[in-house]
Amino acid sequence: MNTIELVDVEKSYGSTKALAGVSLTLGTGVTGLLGPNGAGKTTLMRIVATVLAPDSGRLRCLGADPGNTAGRLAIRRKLGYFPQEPGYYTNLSAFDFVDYVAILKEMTVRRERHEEVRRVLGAVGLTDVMHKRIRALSGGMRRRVIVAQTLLGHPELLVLDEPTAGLDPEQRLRFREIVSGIAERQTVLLSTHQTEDVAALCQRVVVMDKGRVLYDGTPAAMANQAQGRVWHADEVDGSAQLSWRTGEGHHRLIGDPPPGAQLVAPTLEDAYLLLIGRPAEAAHAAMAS
Amino acid sequence: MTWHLDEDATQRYVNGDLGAAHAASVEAHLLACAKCRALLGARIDESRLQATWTAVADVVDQPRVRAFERLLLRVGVPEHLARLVVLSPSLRIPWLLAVSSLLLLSTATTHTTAIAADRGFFLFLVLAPLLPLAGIALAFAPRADPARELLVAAPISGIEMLLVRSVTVLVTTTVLTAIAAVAVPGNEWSVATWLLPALGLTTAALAMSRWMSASAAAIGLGAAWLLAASWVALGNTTRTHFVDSFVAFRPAGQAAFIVLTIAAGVVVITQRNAFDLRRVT
Repeated sequence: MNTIELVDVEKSYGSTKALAGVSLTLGTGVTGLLGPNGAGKTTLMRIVATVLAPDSGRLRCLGADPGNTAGRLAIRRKLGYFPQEPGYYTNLSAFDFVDYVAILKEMTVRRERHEEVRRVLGAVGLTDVMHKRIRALSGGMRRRVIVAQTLLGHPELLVLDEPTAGLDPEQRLRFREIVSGIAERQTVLLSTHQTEDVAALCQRVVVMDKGRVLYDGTPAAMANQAQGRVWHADEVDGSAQLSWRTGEGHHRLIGDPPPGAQLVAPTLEDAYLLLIGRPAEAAHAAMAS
Repeated sequence: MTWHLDEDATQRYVNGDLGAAHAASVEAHLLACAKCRALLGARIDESRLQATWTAVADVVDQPRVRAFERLLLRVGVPEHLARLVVLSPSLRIPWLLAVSSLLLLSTATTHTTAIAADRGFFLFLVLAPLLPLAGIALAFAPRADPARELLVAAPISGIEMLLVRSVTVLVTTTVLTAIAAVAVPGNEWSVATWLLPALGLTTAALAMSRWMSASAAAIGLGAAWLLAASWVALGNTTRTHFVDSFVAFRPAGQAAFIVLTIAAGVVVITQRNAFDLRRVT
């Protein structure tokens, strides 16, 4: 069964078109959303999370229509949402903040609610610091507080907008464990700049640019699109579409290789860069940020 | 080790009908005896164990209950609403200090010379209904709530959130204003004429939030109230009896605010399912 169905969804901010007719169907499992800044990813996530209304097009989430009040309520009851810029009440403890969101999620019975708050804080490894004020927590821990609130009530749909931004490798690994643990029966829409997260977590990847879907398929099939188009060389070759100097001192080049080029196995990031087709340095810098 | 749990004691302990003294003795023994712990561990009901642990955690990991939250619970506010009031940013210390300072200043002017006192009294009556409106405007101002996105994506009803924050600011400002009113000289009924405009304008702001942001509604109504009061003040050529010159503080005006409160209340009730937090906040 499809959890999310978008048909020709459009959204503009003034004269800027953020979504230019996006059509997608998503089911159970983790779908990664890749794209440069301004591609329309966050707009799409906010529309799916019922925070924003599209200008036109058809949308159904979890069998409900977010265009009417009853539909939005039905979706919100089964939704876990990690916004791109999550705000915190820094004077509250992690427990109090998640407790506040739990009340917003209609958990009104104190004992059951507190049990659920302890469960989700434990799931993200914050049991020991749950009564500390958020302002005293590190950036990574703060993001885990937001991850914890998305897990409240075992939501059927998780919309996670760049949840791994600012996390160190260990914290990202922990995040992957959490998401992979819940994605067996649930639908997770994960927006990220990290192709490693997509390769490690996602059964499906959607690449967006300028408000349109450029690619929709499996990460392996996407990486395969760059097969025979990635090579290493000591010097930059004019035939390369994109290139950058690696930490090992040689150049990694993407494009149409010259005869005799030292071809290497492509990664998801290579395929992504080819797809986006931006100047190499800018695109690579955006990926790294 | 002089004794071990027998079959009968084990079963009765598992069933929870061993009696407090005997159970305490068994538990003291279990601390030292791995064999009996293993015997009991295999029999114990997992769900009962979980419930016990949850009850323990519920006491040990209890979040701090603030003084204001305790007060709300004492007057009968449901626990989750009391928590929502103290955790959501509708009450801020700087805001309460600003309200108190304004009331203090306007009250102080009523203790000066006769003409200034008349103006001071007028200022006090005009200011009082503006305070809850300013509180609503602040509570729902764009970017004022750092967790707005989480709020909008949550299933809590728009009207419930609107009422929680608005009633909180209305009650606190009304209490502060009522305290300040005691210090205003004279004991005529006119010292309370701010109350109906405050109630009417606040309820009207809530009703208008059906179609616009609560912040914009409160600012719009506040501006209209201030404009009307300024118009009266500027047009007053006698330089005295400012209060009597503003219809809002005369019986006809007071009656009009009762009608406004009822009409706005009817809109809030009949439209209660149509308040959308995407628009309200």
